[in-house]
Amino acid sequence: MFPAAAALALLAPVAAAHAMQVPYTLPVPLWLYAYGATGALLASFVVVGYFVKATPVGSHERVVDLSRTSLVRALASPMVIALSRILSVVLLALVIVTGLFGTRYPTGNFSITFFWIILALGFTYAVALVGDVYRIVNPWLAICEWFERARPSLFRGRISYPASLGYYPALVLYMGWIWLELFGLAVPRTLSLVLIAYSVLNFAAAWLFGKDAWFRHGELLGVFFRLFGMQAPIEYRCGGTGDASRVRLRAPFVGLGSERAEHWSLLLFVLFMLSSTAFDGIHDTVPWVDIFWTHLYPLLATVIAVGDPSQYLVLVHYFYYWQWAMLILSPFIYLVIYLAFIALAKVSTRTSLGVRALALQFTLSLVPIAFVYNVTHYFTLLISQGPAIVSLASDPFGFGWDLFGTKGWFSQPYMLEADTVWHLQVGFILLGHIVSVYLAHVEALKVFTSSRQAALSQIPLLLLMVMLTTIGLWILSLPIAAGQVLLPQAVNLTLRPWS
Amino acid sequence: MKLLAYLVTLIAALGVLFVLFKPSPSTAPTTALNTASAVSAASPVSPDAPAGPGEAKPAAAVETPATAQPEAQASAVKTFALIVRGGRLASGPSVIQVREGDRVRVELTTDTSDELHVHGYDLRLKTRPGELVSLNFVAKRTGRFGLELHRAELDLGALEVYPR
Repeated sequence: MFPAAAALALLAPVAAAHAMQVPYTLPVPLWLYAYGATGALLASFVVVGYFVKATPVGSHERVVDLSRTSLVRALASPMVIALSRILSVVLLALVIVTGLFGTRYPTGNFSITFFWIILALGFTYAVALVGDVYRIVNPWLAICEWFERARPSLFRGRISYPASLGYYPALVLYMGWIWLELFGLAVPRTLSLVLIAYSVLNFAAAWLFGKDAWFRHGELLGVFFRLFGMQAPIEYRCGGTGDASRVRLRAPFVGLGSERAEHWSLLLFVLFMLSSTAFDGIHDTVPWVDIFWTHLYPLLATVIAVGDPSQYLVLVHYFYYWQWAMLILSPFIYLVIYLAFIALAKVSTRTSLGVRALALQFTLSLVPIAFVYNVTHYFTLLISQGPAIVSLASDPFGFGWDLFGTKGWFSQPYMLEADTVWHLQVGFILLGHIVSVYLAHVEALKVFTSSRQAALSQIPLLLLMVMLTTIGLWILSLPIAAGQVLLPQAVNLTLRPWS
Repeated sequence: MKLLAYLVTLIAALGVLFVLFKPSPSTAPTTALNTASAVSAASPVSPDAPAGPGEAKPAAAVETPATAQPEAQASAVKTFALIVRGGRLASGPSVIQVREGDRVRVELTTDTSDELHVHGYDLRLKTRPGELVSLNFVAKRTGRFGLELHRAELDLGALEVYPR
């Protein structure tokens, strides 16, 4: 085990490079994990029990139109929309500028906290509550439309967006985003440069393919927030871009049943939502890190840099290549598992529908599980570090300013107690599980003619969801490898440098 | 309405299960610590044994601070000796595991001048080359908190405080 310990010790400073601060949550205790998994199983049976007698009727969605209420009319006024778009563009510019010219210290700079905590976490959860408002305030889209006032044909597209490309651009960008979060250098400057490059890419692609096609399929945040926004009890039916012309109240999560994934790439995107969070949860844990250092390392050590005294240093890089490869491969591993269960559903129901059609039909019912995975992993970060944005707003560059008199507010992170965090985590996962099982059943009733066939189709999917939930809970219960795992036998007892 | 009835039944059933399976407070921390056994095996935390080999002081010899309370469990100070050499942790546990309310003493020796920072608790301890310095505190807040040597930008490990 010495090589493992030594190499881990060497890589410690690099391992700390998480774009956000390291979460302070403890592994969920085994008893709570067992309780959660049992709860998931039990909950599944209750939901199935409910559906056994359900008849496959058409949508009996109840909605309340809010468009006429004075609050919505005020919020959806062109003035408010224009102002929120200006604010959105100003915030994007502020993140880039503070990152470039502000302090290098990540928590002292507005950009890191705003981008990784407020936008990536806070805004994600807000969208799940109030709907996809991102498409109204998307800063890149807003800039495109401002330019179009001068040159109306600028973003109409030069070539039509290839249908086969689907959501692959967004998927690739999503992979890049998670890579940056987990392995990228956590300095504000890097984030700014990435955002500049991303802005250039968005404008170039909107110019090439037309803004509507690009912002629907290619712009990562647009796809990400749209999927999570479908869960919201508020729905926006826009007449045109940026125009929230109809606002309706609906039951939470039913929005996911109103659409269907139209392309493999959207299925992969949803699976990456699941797998990237699972990967983030697992990639720092003892069993995972051990796979490389105990099983792969001895094999690699016989073929790479043999005889080189700095072999460990060389192989530390391979540890990262392995981690990156697993991150990129993770949605494909999930895809294989998902398709296997879909194929089982096809066999058990003897349906004439193909595996592809079934796979796409049930894609969006996985979104709630992906969402609760995200919440369980990151909500503590939002609570502990989110409030710091109030202080950072007064001193965005970290120069010691106090623009609004809020400097120093919430400077101490607010932390929830471990057992509160555990119970919330297990509770969230169970909630997501129940919703996903429910949604999958609703989908099944749409596809299959008899409720018996629908129920049959759900047995494999139920197994899949119990598996996903149990994996999610299990990951939460794994011991975390610290910055370094140093074993006592690795210490040279004879060295006494200070005596 | 029927769905509501099912949900109420479900929540009630989960509540009953929770009451049945929730371990008593005395057993919970043990289970919790067992889940982290892969790490704790590598990091002996017993207050009766030297926390690290070599020159680390035996923990049993450590004096308890003047504010020591006579109660049996709470008054025992859990001591951890860490030695940092050549930019890495040379001896001592990389994960310090204690329970809520424990009195903790971290003894630290480094080969350079530096500052230890316990995140979350926001405790700081200045070190000088070769000199043993110690940090005493009560683990009031539960969770997992990073231990960092600021000047060396070295992630030493973590303090894990489990609920009682």
